[in-house]
Amino acid sequence: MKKLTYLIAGLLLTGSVANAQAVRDRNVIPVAVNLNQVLRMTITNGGNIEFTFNSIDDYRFGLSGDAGTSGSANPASSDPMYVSDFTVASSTRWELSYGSEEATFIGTDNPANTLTLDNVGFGLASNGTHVFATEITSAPTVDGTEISALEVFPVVLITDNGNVLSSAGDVTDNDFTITWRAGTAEVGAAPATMNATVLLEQNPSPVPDRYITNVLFELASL
Amino acid sequence: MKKYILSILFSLLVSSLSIVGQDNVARLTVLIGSHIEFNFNSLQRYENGIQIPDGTTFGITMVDLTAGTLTGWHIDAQTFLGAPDLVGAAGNTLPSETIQIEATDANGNLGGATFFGLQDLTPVGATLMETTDPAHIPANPNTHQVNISYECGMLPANNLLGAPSDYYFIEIEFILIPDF
Repeated sequence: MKKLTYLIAGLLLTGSVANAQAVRDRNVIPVAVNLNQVLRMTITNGGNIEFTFNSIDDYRFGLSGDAGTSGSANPASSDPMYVSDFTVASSTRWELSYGSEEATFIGTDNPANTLTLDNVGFGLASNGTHVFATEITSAPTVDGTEISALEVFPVVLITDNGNVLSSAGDVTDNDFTITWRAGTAEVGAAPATMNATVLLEQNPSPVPDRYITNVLFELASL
Repeated sequence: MKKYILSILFSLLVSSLSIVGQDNVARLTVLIGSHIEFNFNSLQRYENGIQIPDGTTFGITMVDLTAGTLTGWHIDAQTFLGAPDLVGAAGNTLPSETIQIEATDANGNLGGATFFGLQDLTPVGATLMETTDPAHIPANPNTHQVNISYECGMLPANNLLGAPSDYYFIEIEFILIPDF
């Protein structure tokens, strides 16, 4: 009997399982990416624009930084006089608003004298690798093709075009020139067009004075 | 008779037992760099990305307990719990592939190992290195060490210029796996 018991036990034991397992180890490293905002606008040239009307032709044809195409009175050699250059460096898509601080130009000698903003206009050109209708867009200038009248702040001058290619970039990507003009009566397809009447023909005639306003620019991240 | 029945019952009990052991010992120890941070604070960094060479050093422990069936080991990396993105504090996201990882030999004792270069960080994971060199078994954390280098935003496809500013976070899981 004893022998039988041992035999059965032995047979059952052969059915027992001996398992082994491979051991692996894990470790977790937390990683953080801190994207700080880089946003800078720099006016590199033409931070102060002054138009001086001192001849009948100036009043009749206006003065322009784009003398070659505007039909203005000033000679083409004076082109660089009325331009503002600026650059934008941004780590994100961006938007630039601009506009006059005042609703009209205000006389320096007599603040009661005013001149409407639409006597001054401007064209906009992109000199960088970012171009209109791709990375960026400009509604007031119809992507740089039209002359816009100066408007009251704030008006979105340049914004991201929503393209896959972002407006974000450095100063070589976002490099612009504003070409100013006054009294040239350039009326095109821009949303805000210049005064269609030159200074010489306006009624009442503008009172001689030194008219000023500040043009504000505000760069914002999108 | 009673003795006989007891013997059978005991035998049945023994037959239900299973013996569990382990084939090896594995331990991945962080020696340096338990936390990695990429700080983008200039346009140059946005344009070129950031590289953190040898940001983390792992010590490897691998011991064969099977008297010779362990043929090697390898290290995989993947996002923790299958996270597909880096998540920003303000809710923005960046794809996990924004980050690349590379393993290298830290102290010259893994000469026979194969290192697979830069790998995208993905939920699926990638093998960073593997070895079947007998000299690497057993592996000791004092002598067998692996450096991990990190890159962020360095490839044109994952350039961070234009990405929303935020504090993004993800966890990377490194797995030391024995090969039999």
